[in-house]
This record gives sequence, C-alpha cells and structure tokens, in this order.
Amino acid sequence: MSVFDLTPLVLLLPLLGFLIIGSLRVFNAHEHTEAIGWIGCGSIALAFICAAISFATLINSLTQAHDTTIWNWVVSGNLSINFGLRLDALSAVMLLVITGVGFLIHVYSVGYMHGDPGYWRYFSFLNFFIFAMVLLVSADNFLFLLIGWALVGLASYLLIGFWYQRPTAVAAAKKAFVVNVIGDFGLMLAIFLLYNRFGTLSYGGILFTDPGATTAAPQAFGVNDPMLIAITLLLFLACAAKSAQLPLHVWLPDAMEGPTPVSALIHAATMVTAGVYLVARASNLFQYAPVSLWVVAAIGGATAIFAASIALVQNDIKRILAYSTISQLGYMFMAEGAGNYSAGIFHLTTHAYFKALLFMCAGAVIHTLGGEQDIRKMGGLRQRLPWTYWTFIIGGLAIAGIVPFAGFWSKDAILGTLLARATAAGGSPWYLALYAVGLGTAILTGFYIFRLIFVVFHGAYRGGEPAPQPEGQVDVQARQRRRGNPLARVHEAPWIMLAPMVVLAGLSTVGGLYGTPWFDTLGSFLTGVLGNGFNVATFALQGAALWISFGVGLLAALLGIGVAWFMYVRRAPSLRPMGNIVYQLLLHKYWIDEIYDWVIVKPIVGMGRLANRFVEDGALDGGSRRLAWLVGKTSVGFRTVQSGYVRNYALVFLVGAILIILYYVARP
Amino acid sequence: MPPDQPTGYLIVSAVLFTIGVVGVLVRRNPLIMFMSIELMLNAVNLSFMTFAHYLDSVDGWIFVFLVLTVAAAEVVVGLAIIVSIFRARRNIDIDELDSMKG
Amino acid sequence: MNTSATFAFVALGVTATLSGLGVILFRNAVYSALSLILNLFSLALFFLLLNALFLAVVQVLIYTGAIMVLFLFVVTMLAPEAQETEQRDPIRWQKGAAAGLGVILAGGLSYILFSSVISPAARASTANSLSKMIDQFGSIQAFGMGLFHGFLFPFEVTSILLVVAIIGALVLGRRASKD
Repeated sequence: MSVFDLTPLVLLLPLLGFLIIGSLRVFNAHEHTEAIGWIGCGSIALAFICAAISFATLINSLTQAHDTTIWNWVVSGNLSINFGLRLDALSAVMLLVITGVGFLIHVYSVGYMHGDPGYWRYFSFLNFFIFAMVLLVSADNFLFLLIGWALVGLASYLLIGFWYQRPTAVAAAKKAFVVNVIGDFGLMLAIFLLYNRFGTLSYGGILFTDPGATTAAPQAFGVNDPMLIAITLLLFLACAAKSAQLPLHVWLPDAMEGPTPVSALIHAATMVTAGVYLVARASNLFQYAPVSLWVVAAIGGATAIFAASIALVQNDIKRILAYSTISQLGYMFMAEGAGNYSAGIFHLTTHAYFKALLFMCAGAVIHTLGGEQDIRKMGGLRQRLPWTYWTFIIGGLAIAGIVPFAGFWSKDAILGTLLARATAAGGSPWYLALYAVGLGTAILTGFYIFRLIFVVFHGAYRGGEPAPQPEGQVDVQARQRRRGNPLARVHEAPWIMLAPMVVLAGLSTVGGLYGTPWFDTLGSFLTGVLGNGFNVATFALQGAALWISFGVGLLAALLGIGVAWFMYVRRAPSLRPMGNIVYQLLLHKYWIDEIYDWVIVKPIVGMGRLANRFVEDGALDGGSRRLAWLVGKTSVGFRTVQSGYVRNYALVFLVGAILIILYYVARP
Repeated sequence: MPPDQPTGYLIVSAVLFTIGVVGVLVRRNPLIMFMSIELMLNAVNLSFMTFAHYLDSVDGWIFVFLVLTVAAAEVVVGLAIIVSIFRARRNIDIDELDSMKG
Repeated sequence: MNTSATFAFVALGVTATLSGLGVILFRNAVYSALSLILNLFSLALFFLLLNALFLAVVQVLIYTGAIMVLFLFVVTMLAPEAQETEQRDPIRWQKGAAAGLGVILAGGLSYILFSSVISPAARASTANSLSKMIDQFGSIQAFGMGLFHGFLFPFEVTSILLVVAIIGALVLGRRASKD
C-alpha cells in the first residue's frame, strides 16, 4: 500500500490561515473574533488530520520515506536545490506533535486571549508559526531547514513582543532574536561547509545516500574527520541557540513576557525542540563525529543541572517553568549525545504533552488572578480551582517521572541509555558521570515542580484582591457574599480552556506507553531514519539492571517531592529570601545576564559610540559636511570676482591677452 | 621713403595701443573710455597699414577700410547707448553701473 | 633712408604718443577729444608716409571729420553733468594694476617685434605687387581694384551693417514716449 502523502497540505493550511486572518485587518473585519477563532483553530485541526492520515499510511507501507518536490528552486551549475518535503518516520512524528499540541493550544488561546484587542494578530502569528515549524521539520534539504529555522525565530520574536506597548516585552523579543541569530550563523556556516564537502544540500545526498547519489556518504571520510566535526559542531551551535542550552539559554526566561499560550506552544512544546530534531535528523553526520556527540552530551548535562538549580528558588510561575524547559531540553541532548536519538525524540514528545499542560495550568491561574505571576502572592487556590489543581498535579507527576505517567518512561529511557553506555563493554566512566548528573537533576526536578504546586495551591492565600478580569463579570450577590474573602471572584477557567488541559493530562498519563522498553514502537519506527545502523536495542538495559534503573529513578523523583512536601506543606512555607551565597547565586541566575551585559553588550555599545564619534561624525558624515562647507567657502571667494564694475572685467580681458602674448614670447 | 624694417611703425602702434588700454582701465568717464577704445582701433589700423606696405599687399588697405567703417558704426551706436543711460543722471561715472555685482 | 623721412617719422611718432597720453590724462573731456583729433591727424600723416593716399584722406574725412565731431557733440551735451566724476576711485588698486599690466603689455609686444624681422623672401612670396599697381594705375585705382575684385562681399555686408547701426541709433536715441 502506498503512502498517502498529505504533507504539502499540512504546510499549506496554516499558511492560508495566517494569510486569511491577516487580510481581515485590511478589510477592517478583524473584530469578528468568533470567525477568527474558527479559522485559526480549524486550519490547524485540518492540518492535524492530514498529518495523521499521512502518518497512518506511512506506518502501513513498506517504503521508508516519501519525497514531494514542489518545485525546483535553484538550478545553477552544480548547485540544485528543490523546494521539497520529506515524509519519513521522524518528520511524521514531529508533524503529529506540532499540529496536535498546536491545535490544543489554539483552542486554549480562544479562551485565554478573549477580549484582547490584538486577537486577530495573535491568531495570524500563531498560524504563521505552525507553518514555519512544519516547514522546518518537513523540508528535505538543509536550505529549507534554514528557512524554516529563521521563520520560527521570526514568529517567536513577533509573539514574544505581542504586547508591544510593554518595554520589557520588546526588550525580551529583541534578546530572543539576537541570541537566535547566533545560532542561525552557525547553521549557515554548516550549510556552506556541507555544500563544500558534499556538493549538495539535500538530505538524500548527505544523510541517506539514496541509490544513484553521486556524492560520498559521511562514512567515506572516516571517523572524526575535522571537517565533519566542524559541521556537526556548527549545527549544534544552532541547536544550542534555538533550544536554549548553555551558554545561549538567556533568552528563554525573558521570553515569558509573551502570552502564556505562546510560552506553551513555542517555548515548551515545539520551537525549542527544533534543536533536538536537528541533531536527530543529522544523526548520520554525528555518528561519524563522536567528538561532537561528546560535546552535545556534555552541554546537555551541564545545562540540565544548571537550569534545574536555578528553578529551585525562582518566584515567578512562568520562570520556574521556563528553567524547567531548559533543563528538560538538556536531558534530550544528553540522550542524543549518548547516541540514543530515539530516546531524545521520545522525551521530546512526552515533554510536549506535560510541559504544554503545565503552562496551560499556569495560564489558568494567571488568568483567573488577573495577571498575577508571583507565587509568593498565591496560595490556597486548591479549593477554588479543582480542575486546574488536579491537572497541574498530573503534569507535575509526569515531569518528575513517577510511574506510570509519560515522563517516567521517557526520562528512564534516557537514564537507562546513560547507564547502559557506562556499563557496556567498552563503555567509559564518563557516562557514569552523566548518569549522576541526570539523577541529580531528577531530584531537583521533583523538588521545584512540587514546590511550585504546593506554594500555589496549598496553605493560605497570601495575595491581595486580584484585579478584575477582562470579562468583568459583576455578580452582585457574590460581592455581598464576599465579606472580606479576596478569593471570592477567583473561579475556574472556562471549559474552552479546560478541555485542552484535560486532553493533555490524558496524554501525559498514557502517552509514554509507546516507548516503554518492552513495547518500543517509537524506537523501532524511527530506526531506519536515525543514524547509520542505529539499533535502539543497543541502549536497552537487561534484566536486573533495568529494574535497578527504574527504582533509582523513581526514588530520586520521590526524594525531591518529599523534600518539597516537607518544606511547604508540613511547615508553613517561609518564602523569604535567604541570605547565604548559594541562594543568592541561584536567585540571580548565576549572574549570567549581568556578565553578558558587562563583557559583551557594553563593549559593543561602546565601540558603536566610538565609531559614531570618529568614523561617522569624523570621517563619513563629517567628511561630507566639511566638503559642503568647503564648497560654500570657495564659492563665496569666487563671488568676489563678480564685482559689477566694467573696468574690472576689462582688466581680466587684458590679463588674458597678456597671457597669450607671453606665450608667444616664451615660444616664438 | 620708409625704412626697410617696419619695427619703428610697429612700436608706435604698440605704444598707442597700450595707452588706449590703460585709458580704458583707468578713466571713469564713459566718453573718455570710448575715446580710448578709438585710440586702440587706430593703433591697430596703423599696424595693418604698415604690413600692407611691407608685405606689398592691398589686403592691408582693405582691412583698414573695413575697420574704419565698423568703428564708425560702433561709435554711433555706442554714443547713443551712453546718452540714453546717462542722460538722466547727475554725474557720469561708469562705476555707478554695478547692479550685476555678486 | 634719407634724413627728412626719418625726421618726419620721429616727429610724427612723438606727436602721436603725446596726444595719446593727452587723451587719457586730461580731466576735461573736451581737451581729451581735441587730443584725440590731433592723434588721428598724425596717424593720417603716417598713412601718407606709407604711400596710402586714399586712406589718409579717408581717415581725415571720416574719423576726424565725422566721428570726432559726433564725440564732441555728445561731450558738450553731457558736459554739465560731467562735474567732478574723478573722486575717489572705488577700486583702489585699479590704477596700479593698469599701469603694471600696461608696462608688461608694451614690453611683451616690443620684445616680439624686436625678435622678428620680415625677410625679403616673405615680402616677395606674399606680394600682390601693390607697388606695381600703384605705379601702374595710381593709388586710388589700386585700392578700388583690390576692394571690388577680392572683397566685394564684405563690402556689401558692411553697407548693411551701417544701415543697422543707423536704425539702432535712432531707436536708442528716442525719448521714452508716454503712450
């Protein structure tokens, strides 16, 4: 049975949604929020259906991949680049996640962004983002990957700075874009080197060596070829920027200035996972450059524990979740660095479920409290927000890694991989170190996520009267009933926001079952696409080691949860900042932003000022100004010749005549 | 009989010409300036005559004749202009016509 | 070269130079005009020395007779206004520059004259044998033959030029009519 490839439709539908909603503004029809909601969600729903159909036919077919070439774009000498889409196991999985979770977030946004004057702008940008992300994962050559990469960066900029009248939002959008460009730079250099080495940019020519390809496969160059190392490290530079790894993670916490659904979609579930996708896609290249894989794993591990440590002491709901995202991305890179790309993709999918869920729940809390994001001003919301509370708990259990939730299986796949590499024949103790880092991060993860839950939902309410919500429901009886209860107006989110949360909670519960060690459909599905001779079985632990790994992981998570319980439920939570140096270090995010400001930003701005003074004012602008002044001065000088006196003019005649005579005197 | 070299005549012509030039540049009465111009024209006439004699050609005579005629026409028109400009003024000074200054 | 011719030449030269200086140096415009008449007359005598009878007479008739009379008419017409025009010179450096440049001009021209001679060969090559024609036909006839045989067209154009000058003078001389 052949593949029914609807990928072009998956690409086209969000684009149409973006264009239609955007053009509504031209016709001044952007106030029809209901229509906009239907168009925006409908396009993504249809895209999801197309992706599901393509996926279903792909599973049942015998072909590994299906390419659709839309048109030949560049045909210039040896260089030939097509605008083509590739449907294979990896891109099909990514498409499902993007359109599926994207659709749920669109539905959630209908409720969250209700009443916002930029409603139409929001949905058009969100559709544009889905389009760009689909382009990124389904492109069949590196150039269109780069185009999609840049476009998602643009969408991120537009959406972070959505409330553009806020200076903090604008600054955060700029910061995100600038840091992303560093990654784009790495990706572009990698593309140049790829073309130089392979003569083509298409995946078929570089990664899969389709029969009939005239270019040599990576293995022809041997292991750890310097050019290959350069290419893979540059690709990883792009991943580090996009997926907020050390030291380019600084934009993600600030990106929380955008609306919460944006944070859920872009900065948790999809855009930041583009880096993980890229490493998996280029796994064939990374296989032959183990040095780069070492770098990937090292940075992933360092980032994981670094970000988790910062999340321990933050007080803003979204910041905690942002650092949590950075930490979990580190996990994914650790898995890919160890060689188990399938585990990285598995964690990508489960993380999409529970992180989107967590952000949605946070958004529900923020929405109902009228914009409050500081957890020190929350507390005791458990009774008034039951649905939000229980979905939050499910998300928390998933991320901490408690059986049988999704996070447990994917996190254990990663930790199991590290342990397997450490104990296998020929394995190095280096992986043991990574395993320890992963375990430590698991403890910290359990702690910070349940600290968040307990502080927000348990105990007594510590905040003031929450600001009225945009809907401004005035319930006279409720007001009379209040009599000093500041939480009286706090109520559960509308069903349009709750429904996606419930769906994601369900996915967070059962979504790990396609990756369990005994039933690893995902791994076997991805086998043909990831790396040369990738066999997921090489990373599986056997027998007792498997159960030990399960147990240790579970214990780590429970340890973290238990400490949080003890500190925040058994005792009244003391949320005052501590004075010791460790706490201050973590609270100020290791002062990395300040270091960057002093070391990078200030010198560049200073150089700019110097250049302005000396080059611009001195030479360029100043040069043309001085030239104009000179011309003016000379013309004033010349003007004195026009004295108006006839006799002066006659004198000039005479001078001319004398010159001619003197010429004849000198040269008879 | 004139000497066998025209040098003397030509020097007289050059001196008269120079005197005419200096007169144009120095005097401010337009009539005297005009007379200086006539002086210059006559100096040139003299040198044409000299060459006609020493090169034994009638062309020099013709030139003198034509210069004479044109000078006459020029004097007529020039004096008419001077009269029409300075008729209404109190004093005639060529330096007062400086509206083309700058 | 005989002495009487030399004496005549020197005398005439001195007269011409002195009267030329008189033209530019007299304060009174009438004196300048009279100086100019003297100068033109001495030039006519120069022409005689050079064997050009017709042109000498024409010079006296037209230049001194017609043109200078016209000058004197205008001078006397504008005389009441020609009071003290020679006040302070607005261009102070003009006199000095004129004097200097005049010296340079005269010197340059003289130098050229002194360093070049007309050789008898040049004289023979360009000759239309004017002297022969004078001997044969007389001076006036020689002039007429030259004018009407070689320069007929300029002659006709000159007559048109004279008509144009007359008309121009008439137009310029009219008082501004109030119509």
